[in-house]
Amino acid sequence: MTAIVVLILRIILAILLLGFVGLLFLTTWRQLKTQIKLLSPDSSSSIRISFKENPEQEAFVIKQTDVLLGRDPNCKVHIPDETISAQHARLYLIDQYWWIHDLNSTNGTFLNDERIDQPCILADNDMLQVGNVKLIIHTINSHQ
Amino acid sequence: MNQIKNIFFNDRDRLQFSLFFLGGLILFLYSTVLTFAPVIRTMNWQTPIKWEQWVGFVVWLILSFLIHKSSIRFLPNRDPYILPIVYMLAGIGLLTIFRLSISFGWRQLIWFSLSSCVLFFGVKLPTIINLLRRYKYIWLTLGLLVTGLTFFFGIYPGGEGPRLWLGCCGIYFQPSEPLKLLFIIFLSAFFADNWALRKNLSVLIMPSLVIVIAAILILFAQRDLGTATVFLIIYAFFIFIVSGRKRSVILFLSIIVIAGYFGYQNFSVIQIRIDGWLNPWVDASGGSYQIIQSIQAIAAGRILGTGPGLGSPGIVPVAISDFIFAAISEELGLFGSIFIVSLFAFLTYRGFSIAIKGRNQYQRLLASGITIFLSIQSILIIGGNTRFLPLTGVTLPFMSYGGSSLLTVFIAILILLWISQNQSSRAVVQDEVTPYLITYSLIVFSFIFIALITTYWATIRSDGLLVRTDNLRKIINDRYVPRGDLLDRQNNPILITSGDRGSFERILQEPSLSTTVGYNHPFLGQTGLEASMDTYLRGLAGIPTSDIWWNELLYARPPDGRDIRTTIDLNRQQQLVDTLQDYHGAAVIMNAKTGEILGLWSSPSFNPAQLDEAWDELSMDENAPLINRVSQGKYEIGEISSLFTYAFLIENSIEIGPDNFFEAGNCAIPLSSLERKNLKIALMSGCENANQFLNSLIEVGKENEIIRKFGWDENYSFELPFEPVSLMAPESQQSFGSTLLSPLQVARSVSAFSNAGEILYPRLTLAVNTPQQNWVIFSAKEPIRTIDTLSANQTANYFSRKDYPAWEITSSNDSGENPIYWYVTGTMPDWQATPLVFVLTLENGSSQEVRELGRQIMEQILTSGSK
Repeated sequence: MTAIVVLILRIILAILLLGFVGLLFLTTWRQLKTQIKLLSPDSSSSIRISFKENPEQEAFVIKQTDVLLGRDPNCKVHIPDETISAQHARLYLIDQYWWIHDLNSTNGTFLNDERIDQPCILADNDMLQVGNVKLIIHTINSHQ
Repeated sequence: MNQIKNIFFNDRDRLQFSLFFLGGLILFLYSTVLTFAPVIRTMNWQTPIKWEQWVGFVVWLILSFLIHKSSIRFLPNRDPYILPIVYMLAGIGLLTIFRLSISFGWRQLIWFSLSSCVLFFGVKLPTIINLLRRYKYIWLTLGLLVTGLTFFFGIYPGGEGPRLWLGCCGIYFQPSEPLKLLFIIFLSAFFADNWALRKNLSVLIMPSLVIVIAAILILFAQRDLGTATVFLIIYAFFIFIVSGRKRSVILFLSIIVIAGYFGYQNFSVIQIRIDGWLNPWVDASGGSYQIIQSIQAIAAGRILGTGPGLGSPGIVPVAISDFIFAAISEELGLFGSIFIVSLFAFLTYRGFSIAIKGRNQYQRLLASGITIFLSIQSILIIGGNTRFLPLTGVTLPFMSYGGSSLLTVFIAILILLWISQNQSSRAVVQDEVTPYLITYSLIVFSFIFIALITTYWATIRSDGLLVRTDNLRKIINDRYVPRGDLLDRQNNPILITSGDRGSFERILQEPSLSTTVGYNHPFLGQTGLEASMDTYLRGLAGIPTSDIWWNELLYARPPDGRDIRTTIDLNRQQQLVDTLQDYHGAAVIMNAKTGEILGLWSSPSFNPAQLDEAWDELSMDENAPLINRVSQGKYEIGEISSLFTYAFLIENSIEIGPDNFFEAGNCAIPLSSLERKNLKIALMSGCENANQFLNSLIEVGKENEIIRKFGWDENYSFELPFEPVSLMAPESQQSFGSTLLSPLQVARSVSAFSNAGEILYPRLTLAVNTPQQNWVIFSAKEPIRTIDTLSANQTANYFSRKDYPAWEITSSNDSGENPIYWYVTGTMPDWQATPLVFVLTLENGSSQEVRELGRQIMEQILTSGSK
């Protein structure tokens, strides 16, 4: 009799083992489905650039698909700072992603503390450093 | 159901809680079954239950609750899968160690608590990750130095073995474990710092290569090949991920293969491992003992597993560390092994997801390095357990016994959690992701392969592996399952099982039958009836298959053994023993109509209870006490051959003119001068010349016809081993009398003279006691006719005694060093009761004694048992 009760417990144990793995796969599957939804067109269309050390200063909200960042007043993202080159970097939207490309600036562009030497994709909360100025990137999704 | 419906990845805390909850339930059930396992094994509620694992379970519960809460508080953005998976694996490992060895369980519990504390406090300090990057050279140098110290101060806690540990006073640490992690941190930091130079391979590889070679040299010098392999593979994947060139992986794999080949030629350790992997069946008790025991454990688990505490994984060597996967497979079955492999595969998936989303290059490399480390090490050791790869002595992360290893992998997991906390939702460029994806696919492919191999051992090959003689589970079962008794034809006990479950013993009631009954010994194997009737005695036959299956499912062992009724009559056996106690030789009483053996005496014999102590003496003894002389003895038949020659001559109508016979020559029984001229008396008394005279009447080359006629070359099934006679070479000058026969073969062939020319197949067993139908009689084989009834009866009459209704013949061969005396007798064809034949062979005494004893026994048998 004891052996039969234990057999039932063993079968439940085996089912729970399956259940654990099942839960892992189920939630992963759901997450992938949500991700695919997020990646569908018109998800992210604009970004907001704010100053890390000086949050009071007015942030840039960019709605165009291709802008320049630099000391030059003609730049859409115009930051008057000595350490920033006139035309420092280019920000552009391709395939729903915002990219940053360093335009051979003197002091370089750093994305999350690492210098970039090729176009990189920007993500929410990324820390961008141009010259000595530290900026925070916020992506704005239209459906949020 | 609603609960599950609402669990989403983004609701991290709830998902993590659900997984922890399920894990807790699994471990609770594991502990419950383990608690009652001793009761089920002994089928007795008096047996003390096992409780120690509950301490492990409660500590696990408290620690996982604390970690769960603190991770929610300090790492809100973490990956929710990592902690539950790690705690699930560590929990099953911990309880399995408790199940295998309680003292090791306590020690592992301390290490587990310590590692969890590191995790608990570590989650509050995610900034350490940058310190690791900044001081990368210092960390690696420290690690190498401490590992180097083992050269001078290294010890092996278990006694003799590789000296890879440092420490004293009961606490030991293996520095090569944390070295793996330091090595990964160094490589990640180094490559991230020099990221811009990555296309210039020589600049990038040279500095790291120097350090890598230093690390590997240290490990190779210490013969810790598992760790060295792990280092090489981690480094190979690093180069691949940094450079993005597939050829770097191929290059490194070839380096490993070449290094392996070189090692095979030069190091005996590697040679044993590789040989044991390629051809495990050749040297199953030596070099490949571990691997065969390991896959047998997997096979013993089958699909559902025996249940915690109900299997015998303890017989796999080092089950708590290297072979913990096999131990778990036996008790949790294919479900358990697939579960573990899936968790490791899933951990790899999460690790690479974290790596791809890493905040910067350093964190990306670090996360993938840690993931590669954990997965490669588990593939190496699980692969070694399942014969997918050669054995390398590395630990199974989170599960194996070992403090240094547990602490190291927990710190690795802590780093992975920090990185996942920092991860960004950045979409990554295709080119950068490709190397990660390829690495990930390779690892997952290996895991799938391991799962398939485990399935193969646990299902298709399961039966084949378990019937092997080196499956020690049979021996353990013999202590828990009563083996069937052997009874005589009136159901009196010959060999019985006594004792309680867990301590059964075999007791032989009739010592003179020891060579017939044989033994069932853990290491010496089985002989006699114990061997030939094993399936019945062990409860694997004579029982409905469904019962066997059900018993295996409930208890992981066969049902109680079945009793066997033999043909032996203990009264007749007693007559043999009493009369022949001073002699060496063999005697057999056989029913001439059915082939049933009523008495069987072989001397000298042995005491099965003293097999362990006296084995060397017994096996070296030149009197061969372990041999059953009745079936295995080989005695020259000498003048006994006259019986067969006579019958052959009669049947072929060859005239025997006694007129041509003049002189008897040497006789077994002294004859008067008148008797010496009488052919009949001379033949019955074993006279040399009389026998030769008969032989001279046979055409040359007809001897083989006689051998075939009386079935001496026939190989039939019998409960004891015997060897058929090989035919004589046509040109051989051997005399027919030099044929070597066992007493049993003689008894079988002479039964023709008491049974109207038909001979039988001898048998020792009559019936088996089955649970459903009680005694089920074994079927007997049809007798075969050898000579026509008339010739058989005529032979019996020719050799008949005047004073008693029996025929007889005596012979002696005492010329050589080993004298042999035969006395062969049987009932007359017109005997109204059971026809019997009796063969007596003595190795000492004299020919007169053999006839006297033989006549005495025959007369006793016929008067006492003529019913």
